Amino acid sequence: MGQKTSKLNKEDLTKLRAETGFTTRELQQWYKGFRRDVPTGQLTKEDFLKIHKQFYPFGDPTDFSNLTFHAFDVNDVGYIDFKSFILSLNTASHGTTEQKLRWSFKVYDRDGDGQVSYADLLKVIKSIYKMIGFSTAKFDEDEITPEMRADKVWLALGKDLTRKESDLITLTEFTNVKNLDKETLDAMNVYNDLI
Amino acid sequence: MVTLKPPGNPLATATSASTSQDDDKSQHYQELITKLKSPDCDLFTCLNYLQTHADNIGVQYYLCQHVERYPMSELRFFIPQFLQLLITVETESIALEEMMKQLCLQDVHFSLITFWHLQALLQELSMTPESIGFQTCKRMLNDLQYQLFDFSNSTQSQSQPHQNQHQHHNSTHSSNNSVTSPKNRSSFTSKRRGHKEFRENVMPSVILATSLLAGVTVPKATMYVEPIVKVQGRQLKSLVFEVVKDVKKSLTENLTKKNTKNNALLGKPHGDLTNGKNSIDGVGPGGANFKRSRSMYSRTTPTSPTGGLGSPIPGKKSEDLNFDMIDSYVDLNMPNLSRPSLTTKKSLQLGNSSSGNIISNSNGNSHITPSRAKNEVYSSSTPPSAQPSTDNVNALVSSMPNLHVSTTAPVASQSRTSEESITASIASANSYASSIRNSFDYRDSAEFDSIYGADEANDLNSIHVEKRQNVAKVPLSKQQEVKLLKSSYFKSETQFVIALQNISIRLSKVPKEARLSTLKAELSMLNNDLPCEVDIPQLLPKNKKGHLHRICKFCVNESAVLNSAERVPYLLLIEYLADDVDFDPETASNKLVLNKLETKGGGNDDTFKLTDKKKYRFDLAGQPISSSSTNLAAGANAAASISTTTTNSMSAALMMSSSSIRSPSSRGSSITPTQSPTQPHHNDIDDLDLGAVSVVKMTNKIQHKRMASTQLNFPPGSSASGSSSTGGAPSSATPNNSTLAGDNESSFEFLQESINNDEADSELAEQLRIASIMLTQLESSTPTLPNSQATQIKAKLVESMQAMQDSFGSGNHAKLPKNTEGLAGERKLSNDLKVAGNSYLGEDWNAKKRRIRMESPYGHLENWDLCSVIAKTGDDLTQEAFACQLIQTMARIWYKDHVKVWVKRMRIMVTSCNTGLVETITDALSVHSIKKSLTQQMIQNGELPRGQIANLKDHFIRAFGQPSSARYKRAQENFCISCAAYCVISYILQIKDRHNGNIMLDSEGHMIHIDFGFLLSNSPGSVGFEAAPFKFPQEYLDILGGPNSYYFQKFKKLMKSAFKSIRSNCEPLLSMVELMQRDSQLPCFKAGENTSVMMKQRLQLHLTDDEVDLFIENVLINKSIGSMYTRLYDQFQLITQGIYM
Repeated sequence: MGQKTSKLNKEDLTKLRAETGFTTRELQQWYKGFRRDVPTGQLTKEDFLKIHKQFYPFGDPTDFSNLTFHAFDVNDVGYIDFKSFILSLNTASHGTTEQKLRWSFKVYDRDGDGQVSYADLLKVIKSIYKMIGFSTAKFDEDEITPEMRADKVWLALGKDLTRKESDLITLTEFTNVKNLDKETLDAMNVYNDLI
Repeated sequence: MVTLKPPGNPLATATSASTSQDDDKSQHYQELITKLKSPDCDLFTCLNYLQTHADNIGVQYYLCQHVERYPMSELRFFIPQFLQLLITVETESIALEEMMKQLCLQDVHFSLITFWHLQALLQELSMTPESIGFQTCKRMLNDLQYQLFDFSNSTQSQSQPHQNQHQHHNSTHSSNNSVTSPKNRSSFTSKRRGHKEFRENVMPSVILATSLLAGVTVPKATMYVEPIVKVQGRQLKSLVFEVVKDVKKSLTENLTKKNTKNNALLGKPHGDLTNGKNSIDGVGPGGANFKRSRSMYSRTTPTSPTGGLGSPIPGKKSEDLNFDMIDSYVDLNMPNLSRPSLTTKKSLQLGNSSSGNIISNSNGNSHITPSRAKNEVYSSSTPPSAQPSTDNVNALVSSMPNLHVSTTAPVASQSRTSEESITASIASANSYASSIRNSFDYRDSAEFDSIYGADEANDLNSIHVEKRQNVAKVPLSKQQEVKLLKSSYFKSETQFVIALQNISIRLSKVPKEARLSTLKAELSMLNNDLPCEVDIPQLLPKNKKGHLHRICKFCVNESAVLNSAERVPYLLLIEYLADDVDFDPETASNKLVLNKLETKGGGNDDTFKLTDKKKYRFDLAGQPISSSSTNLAAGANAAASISTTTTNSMSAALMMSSSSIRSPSSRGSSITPTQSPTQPHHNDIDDLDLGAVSVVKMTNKIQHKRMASTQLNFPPGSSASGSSSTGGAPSSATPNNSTLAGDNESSFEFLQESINNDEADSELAEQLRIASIMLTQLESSTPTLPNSQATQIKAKLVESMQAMQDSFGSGNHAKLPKNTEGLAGERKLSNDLKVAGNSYLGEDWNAKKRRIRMESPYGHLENWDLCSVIAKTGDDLTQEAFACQLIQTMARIWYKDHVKVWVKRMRIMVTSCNTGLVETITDALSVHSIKKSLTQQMIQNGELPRGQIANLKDHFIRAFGQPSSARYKRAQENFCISCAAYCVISYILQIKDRHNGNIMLDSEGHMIHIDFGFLLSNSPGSVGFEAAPFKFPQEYLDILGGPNSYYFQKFKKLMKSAFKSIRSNCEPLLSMVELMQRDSQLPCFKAGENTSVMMKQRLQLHLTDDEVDLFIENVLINKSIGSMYTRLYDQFQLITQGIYM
């Protein structure tokens, strides 16, 4: 944790190389970059929010940032260390669409019961809308509110709008690539092979 | 660690920012968007926001997106401000930098102006090479150079989607063509090998990941932030700053200062920065690179003999050359010195392809700093930690020439045998231009690589070669052709500007009497390369339909040397064809250009001629010869090292002489052990030394001299020693008429008839030039010759030069006034007359234009036009340009506010920190000149008693008729509306040094202020000399018609409304000054941050409108009218400078 070395130790390196699509060299590079940008080696929730504020200045990213922090902080320790960071980054940049969806599920399924309710869905979507702000984003007429968007997603996942209260989305349903429209698929792959 | 990082660490500061503030911010940002969307939001506002919202990446990105939408002409106007923002405002965002690059891609003139401004900035910032500003500046410049000059790379990359360019070299990534970033943004930066599209930056990668989380349900959210993520991902953060620190520790402070300054100029030790990866991996503890360089150094020296022959490794070479370009640009004064080191570099590269960036340090160049040679050594070969003292460095200095000798001599001898290396050595004659060409030519080199086997090249490079070969074989795509045309255009442009600067430098080295002849000779030489795809951004009228102008000829006979104390600005009349150039590869002329450029790549004999021709383009012989003496003057220590370097590196035999003459002194001060290995080499050349030996014999006829100096350039039987130096001199001193004519033939058939004429002219030009080289030499070698003899020789030379100077062209045109020595007033007058002609009011511009058009071989072309430009060297034109910007800003405010005043738009193009081109005002004369010639005329006619000076009213009556006439009234009106504007301008901007030489009147009665050496917070001489708010002598009042006249009332009214208009719209003006004053070295910001505060005070913002009226009436106007101070200053100018009051 408080290690002063500028290099990733061997064990971690071997482990991460096995778990990710990064080469040794890339991992070392990323480690350097991480230690440069996060000198403590621990990216806190506040840092995380600060970053979001840098990229979403026209809205309030607080809720979204808090929700997504847990997707990174896999061990629930309250901060993101290099390992958690690189694993998440690996999924985001190297993962298949299904892997990305599986990773996202954690965010939407906040209580971790393996199922996402309409309320869960709406909460996340609301936080996204709030984060982007309305002055800059150009949402289509039929999804101008988070509710409208949530309805759309709910329908796309094969759910009935009349059963918002009772029905739940399972992991299988959520990660079924076939449920995604082109726009979503494109968004999922927009960073492919960038890193 | 955090403090060392460029824009600080946003995460580190995160905790200190309170959350409640952040909430306010998003509200605040939303308001910002509303403001941006409003119609009165202009670029001034945007600049202001960019400055105040530098702390947020998203906002910066949004602002830049917004800024990009403004018309290109407006964006060009603000280039200095954008760059100032880039280098002074700390931000995590790289949106602005990316925007600049993007705009450079879009617009050739935008990129040229940016390029030149960056050069100027780089030099200004060179005092603090560790600063973010310097680093940013250098990075930008390097990127831009790739963009502008490196065709080879782009040829390659154009055939692939931009995204994947780096992946050619970096096979670890699979290519994915589907990913294309918006607007091809990546094409600018990504083409370099080893550069990553997305670097190890935590912030954008976190957002990248979380935006995907959002995208699962709201894909628009991903797409919304995606461009920002990609842009920020490209950000290059390096630890290079730590290296600088280490260096500092290990060297004595004094030395380091010099070094850092010089390195700054060289743009080198931090060269790692460009090699993105290098800096990150290699640099770590700070010694790695240096170590590498050392080993490389010793390893490659033995291999050097072969070095000259083999061609450089393509990829690496281009990287080095990019540095060279900065360097040698900085160092126009010593272009010849760069030659051997260039060769050295080549040989070194062969030995080790992976360390090019360090080798390039050895390129002899740099600014006129005493520490030049030392630094060269330091930066190229000294492991800093091992050299704690200056003594050691001195020792290293002495070891320098060894290398040169060992490498250059063999190289030189071989250069006779190989076309390719001849090309190389010719190319290296003129450092900057050649480096441009070199990077351009390196397609050829690649070809040669493969022809000669290129065994030294490693795998990676041979892949390169293959690729490039393919490119050469396959016909270029249209896109590639456009790119090729553009890069050829950039080359022409930059070379053109350098040629103009070189002339100025050269002029300053010859005695005053010979300057005009020299200028004519030089311009006539340049004409050989015209017409060419060259334009002057900003100064020439706006281009239409995306076309550029084509400069076709200098009017040699109309050119004039403008007398000035030390610097030699000169006036140029340039014929051009309006909107004649574009980059459409389908047009006939462009096909010709392309054809030439492409066949050049073939590498056979025929094309060699073409390349050969190419070398001559704007290439001038006789490099500013006594530049080395300038260096000498800088300090004995430096002199010694320079002369040792010089002796080896001189490419012109003539230059040898000047150094050998000086060598007694320089050797005396620090004879270095290395002198001995140099000696044989040196002696050989001594035999050819014009200054020491042959000058005396060659004093009779110019013809003689010409032969002699030709002889010097081609020393018979001395190829071993002399050949190293022949590279540059003969090629440029004896222009190849046949190729030049041939060029003209092919592209401009209508020129046929004038070719003979041209040939005669270039013959003449050549003679004149040789004479001027001789003169220069005489100047520098005087100590060794008996004084009387030297003077005699000089006189004869000058005499014959002056006899020849008027023989240009067919006719014998009106002779230009002979240069007049004397007071500034005399100079101002003759300057003016040169601009305007000989009569009292000068030749009407339109008449002149008609006359020139009649004479011009291009005059029959419909789009023919003429412009006059002053080329300046030595002055800091950045300030002048800034003053013009401020005046323009005020003019805009008035225009928008419907205040009907008149302001002349002055345009200045800055081409480096001390050179530039200035638009001349046609049909206008300085008040001084008007008065002087009018006084003389009136005294002659007995209308004025001796000892009195004519006043402006006399002039008005003569020029515009009786005061009751309509013409006179119109002139009065013009005077009134322009005077009101300039009074407000000179009060608010505190423009000083307002003697009559700096105030002009045009043929319609408008007043125009020029020369902005003193404004805002600096003033000439002691403070308070010009204490009046602005200059308003009694005679202005007389012209307007007296205190109760209509026009004086109108003047007052206009002044009030103009002043109030500025007051209520002062934001853009203030923010311009606030922005530009930050960390600025310009003299007008002497008061630093107070500059803008003081300006704000002058605006009297606390007063009500009524109070302002009173203030203007009582304080400004009344204090100014007939001010004692104004009179005093004018009297002072009259007495000391002879400027009429």
